[in-house]
Amino acid sequence: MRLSLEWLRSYVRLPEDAATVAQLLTEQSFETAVGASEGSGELLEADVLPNRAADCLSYLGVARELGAILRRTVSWPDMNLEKSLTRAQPPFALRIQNTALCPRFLAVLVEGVRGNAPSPAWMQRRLQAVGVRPQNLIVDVTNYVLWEVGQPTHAFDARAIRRTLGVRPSRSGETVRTLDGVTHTLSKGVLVLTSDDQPIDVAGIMGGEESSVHADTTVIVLTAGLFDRVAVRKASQALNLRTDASDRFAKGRTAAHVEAGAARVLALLQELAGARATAMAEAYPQPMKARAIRVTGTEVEALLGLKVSSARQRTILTALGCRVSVVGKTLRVTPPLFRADLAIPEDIAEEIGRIVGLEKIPARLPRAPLNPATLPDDLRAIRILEDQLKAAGWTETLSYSFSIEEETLALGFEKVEHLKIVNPINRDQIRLRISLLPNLLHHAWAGAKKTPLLRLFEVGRVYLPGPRTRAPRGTENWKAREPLRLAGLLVRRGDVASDRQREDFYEVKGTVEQLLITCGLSDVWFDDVEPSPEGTFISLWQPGRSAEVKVGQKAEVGFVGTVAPEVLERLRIRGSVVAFDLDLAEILTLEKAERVYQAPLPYPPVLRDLSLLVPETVLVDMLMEAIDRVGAPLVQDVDFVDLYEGSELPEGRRSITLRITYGSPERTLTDKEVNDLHRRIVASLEEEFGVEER
Amino acid sequence: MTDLLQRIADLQAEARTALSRVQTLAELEQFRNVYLARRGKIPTLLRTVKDLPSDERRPVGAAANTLRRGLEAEYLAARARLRARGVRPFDVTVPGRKPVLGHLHPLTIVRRDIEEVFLGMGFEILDGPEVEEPRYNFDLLNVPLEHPARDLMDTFWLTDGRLLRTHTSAAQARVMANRTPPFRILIPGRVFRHEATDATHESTFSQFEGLYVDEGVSLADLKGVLGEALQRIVHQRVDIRFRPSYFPFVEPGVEVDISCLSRRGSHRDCRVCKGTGWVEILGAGMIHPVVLQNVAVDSTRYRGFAFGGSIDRLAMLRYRLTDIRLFWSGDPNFLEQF
Repeated sequence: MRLSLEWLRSYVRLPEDAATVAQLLTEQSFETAVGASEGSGELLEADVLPNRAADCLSYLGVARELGAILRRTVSWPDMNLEKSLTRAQPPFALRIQNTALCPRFLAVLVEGVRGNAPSPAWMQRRLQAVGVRPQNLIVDVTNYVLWEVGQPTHAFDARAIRRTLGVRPSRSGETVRTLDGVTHTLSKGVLVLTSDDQPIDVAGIMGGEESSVHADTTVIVLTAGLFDRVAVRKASQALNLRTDASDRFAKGRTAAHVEAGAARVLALLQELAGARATAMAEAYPQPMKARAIRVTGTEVEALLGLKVSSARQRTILTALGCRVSVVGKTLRVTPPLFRADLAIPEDIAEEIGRIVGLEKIPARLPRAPLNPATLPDDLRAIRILEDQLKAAGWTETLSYSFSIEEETLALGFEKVEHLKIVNPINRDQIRLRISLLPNLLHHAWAGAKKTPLLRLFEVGRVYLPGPRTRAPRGTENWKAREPLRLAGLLVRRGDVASDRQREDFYEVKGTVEQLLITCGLSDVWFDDVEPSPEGTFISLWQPGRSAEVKVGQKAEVGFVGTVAPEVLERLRIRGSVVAFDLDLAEILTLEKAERVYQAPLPYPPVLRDLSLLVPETVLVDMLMEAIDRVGAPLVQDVDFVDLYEGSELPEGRRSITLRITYGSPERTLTDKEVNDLHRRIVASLEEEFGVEER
Repeated sequence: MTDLLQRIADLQAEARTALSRVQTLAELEQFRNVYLARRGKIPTLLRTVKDLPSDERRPVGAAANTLRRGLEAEYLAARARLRARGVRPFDVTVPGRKPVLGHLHPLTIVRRDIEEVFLGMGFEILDGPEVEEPRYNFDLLNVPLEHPARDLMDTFWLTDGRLLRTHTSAAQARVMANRTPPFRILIPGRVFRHEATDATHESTFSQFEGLYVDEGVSLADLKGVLGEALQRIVHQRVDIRFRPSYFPFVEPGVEVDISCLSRRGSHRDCRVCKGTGWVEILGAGMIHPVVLQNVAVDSTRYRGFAFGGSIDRLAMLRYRLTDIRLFWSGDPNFLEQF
């Protein structure tokens, strides 16, 4: 809210410097900045908190704050309705159809005004300072009071009000021509003021043109009402019409404002134009009752962690408009009716705390039981995996939880069910990701334009569709619906030679293997990717150059492989991409907690290399498994050394070199023993797979 | 005896002269053969010592050994010198070959730092779902259907009526429901706001939420804990300022500022604090009794504080970053700086 310092100073004595006033308000009420002053004197711009809108979207509210903060008296303007009150009945009846939407409504017949009289210069200046264009005395006074008291009021030419003055929701198709000259066709449910049931005003937003004050107006009907905040907000949105009045109603007024606003308008009209209120009608079926809050001074001190004398507590609350009585050690605090936000002892503590000054609260470290806190297992594992990938040259990226559209479509993922957003801001927010890969591909390719080789990974949740469940609190298995995945891409720009592609595949595969070893998984194997009947996810992985990662007999924990050329083509990616995508949640459940050491061999092992010419159909895995089987128990380990496919080799054959470690926990093996076993192994491989030793 | 000592002295002079004439490794080897090898002059001399009368053995032996050790050292030095002559030196100014290291995302780095600080103070680290029921995001946090706070937080809604959580506070009710006080909890995680993206606004960012519930907890405890934590997170001594604020799930509610990190004396033109000397960092307050009651914590006995802040914002402050969108860009020129 914009505040003119000159205007504020008319209620309470303030420090000279605008910045000091702004700082006081910022530290004790709500954030306030010094505004730009353009001929209208010094201005403040206050960002009134939502719960303080009722009392502080007004000069009097801000003056009350500053009075309490500075411990100075506030000179309140004349706003006693009783004084202006008349018992006479006006020539119209009030008809409020829905008192929930309009709990209080007041109409006063005011005589002795002139529609073309101007307002005094001081009032015009103040209105201009807050950006309101002066018009005539009557309108200016209602605007002035909107800012001063915070209650919008509206003056009708009395001739426009016939037998009944009503408030009701509009019927679909009704029209009102508002003061700005626009004719609005209303949908159902917009609150309107009516004369003999004809809409003459959009309640709480803007008056009608025809019923407004004209140059020849001499009698007015001044109205003030409390209109439902939600109804006004929705109407304002629907009509695309925001006014100072609608803003205030949308942020919430109270019934107390109605009376104060009307009284202040009457007092000003009386003072400035000699106007007289001659009749009044009010609809206020359920008057608001003040509620007392009981709170002890110790409770306040315990919440704030700060000693505040009981006398000071009382002074503060009184300065804020509360009535305070003391019963024993208990304060009985009755907040003013316009402070609906004060309802519980904690609210009272806040008022005392901020007026005393939050900077006075000491910083203290709590004394607490020495419960150890440890990082949860999954977070600890993630850190280790992230660090390992970093050490292996991979760079972490983070991408949106939304699945980027172009990549999603290129992968054919749109055929799979996703959780969907009702109100996406752009097309890349339509779906929640079910895989990290679309967004990673997006990042990777954008990144590849800047660097020829990129290793990129992300750890993140994916969001699985499924029926919305209403499990009892605390029992929802949300982690199963938002499983963690770990995915990465090795992206090489440009034309990539076949050998290079194979090396990249083995690098990525090796990275995955190392990650799984770190997780303590031993029984990991790589299976051919089976084309799935749905043909959805699989299209991503190039057949023959991709593998499914499995653990033991059952668990499928992800994929590693080359991204299919068709996918790259669709995304106009010129290069090669090898990817991995792991079900981290599943892997972490398989992670072995127990790690038991194996005794190192006490005798030196014997290493023998074995180079074989192997038919293409025989896989390395098969050879290694056979060596383990035939050579047990003396074969301690079989390592892969090298694979060679060259044109000088016989058609359909590859050369594979393995290294066998022989050893025994009981003795040093003799040369003869090792040679015999080695020969037996070779013979067995020759027989079983048709390999030849080179 | 004097004869022998004289011979040793002569031998020393002779060997030194010979060594000074050596020009090549081959000549050096020749020298070694003549003087130091098993059949060389000095070992031969040493072998005669044992035949001397016992009173002569010690002084002669000592002198001969000194001569041998001295010559051996000189021989080794000469060998090193001659060998080095044929060696092509390394250009030690050529940059070393660094192992290729990857990088962690800056938000991961800052999140870990935050986790460590609060772990150190005994806070458990927990999380909740990102796709959330409205009751956890709003209702149980004392945010009723038509509350102004729902105006503040525009929300991504799902077609099934759920939403993307707008704050990590959404996990408050979930984690508190399973615990009996006292407890200390930190919830770091991803949150979503329905707003257009620009340099300072993102639809996606990460927050951390802290909760501490016990008997006798006060705003002074909140100030103490945040003071300790924040200066460890920003790696700098900072002052803390509380300002009144409003969140429906705390009462009293405060905004927490830290003194501006810019080291320049005057903050007048500072872009970070906009001239105020303070930077807004967290929202916090005493947990609203209704929120405690919602999770069946006896609010007459226990009180607690809660705080929530943006990890992205702390990362921006730490790295003096001015465009929040870079976090989500995947740009290698950005990621490779961390």
